[in-house]
Amino acid sequence: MLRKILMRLPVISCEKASRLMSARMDRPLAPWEHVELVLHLAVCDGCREISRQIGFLRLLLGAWRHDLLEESWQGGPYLSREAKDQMKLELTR
Amino acid sequence: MPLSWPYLIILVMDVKISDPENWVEQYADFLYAYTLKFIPNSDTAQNLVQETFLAALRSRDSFRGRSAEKTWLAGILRHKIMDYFKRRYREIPAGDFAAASDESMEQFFDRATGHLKKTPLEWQLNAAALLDKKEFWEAFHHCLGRLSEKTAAVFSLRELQGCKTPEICKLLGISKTHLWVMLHRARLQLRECLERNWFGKDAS
Repeated sequence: MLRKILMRLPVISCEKASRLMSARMDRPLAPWEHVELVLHLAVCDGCREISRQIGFLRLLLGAWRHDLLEESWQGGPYLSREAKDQMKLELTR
Repeated sequence: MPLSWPYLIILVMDVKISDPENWVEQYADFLYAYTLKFIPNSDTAQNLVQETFLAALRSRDSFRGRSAEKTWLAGILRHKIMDYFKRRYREIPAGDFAAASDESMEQFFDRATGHLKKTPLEWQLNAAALLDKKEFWEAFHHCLGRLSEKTAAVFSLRELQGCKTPEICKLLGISKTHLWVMLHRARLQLRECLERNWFGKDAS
């Protein structure tokens, strides 16, 4: 029932919604922008999933950075032995 | 000299700073991996790591063990990366580029209706599982490399570095609007690429 009502309202396009969902990751939305976005996401599964996904990427990258700074971090990509030897040479000159 | 506790603390702090000869073995891989997330070019990344070690060596005396050595080196590297971006991408603020920005969004949205052209797949969102997965980061690296250089740089500064809008705008001499358009583009392009190369495949 609510969905039927929502679908009759003038809803912004996916393109505008995507612009807003990206913008809110960088700045606060104005009240009407917020309403426009929420209305669109309520009726558009595709955009809702996209919003979820780009939010997830932000979370993941933030976690990666935190992880990297841990003393125990072991991941790559790794430098070659030659590259490391070259660096050691430069440092001890 | 009497072994008073302030003296002992200084002694201990000095012991904690490792020998530069060990820095490469301890930190080179970390610094390299870090740099590659911002600058996908391995030669450039290597040079920046090298420069970081040299700068650290020069300013070694000013490091008093206030933070972890790793964090200290990462800080130096961060400055090097920002300088690199500034030298490479700084521009005189351009005029209206709205046309250019609309063009790039056409790949995702129908020109007439503004509808999404392609429905996204449903992703399995498990951050903990992905953090350690080498293959995922290779796919990410590939996707980041597919963005235009400047777009990738801006995205990395925002999402990996956590820089705020004014900081990035000041560094690169671009307007807020310009920045937000680039970030928007980056997010959509990255999302789509990752869907094709990872989340949309039969990967766990």
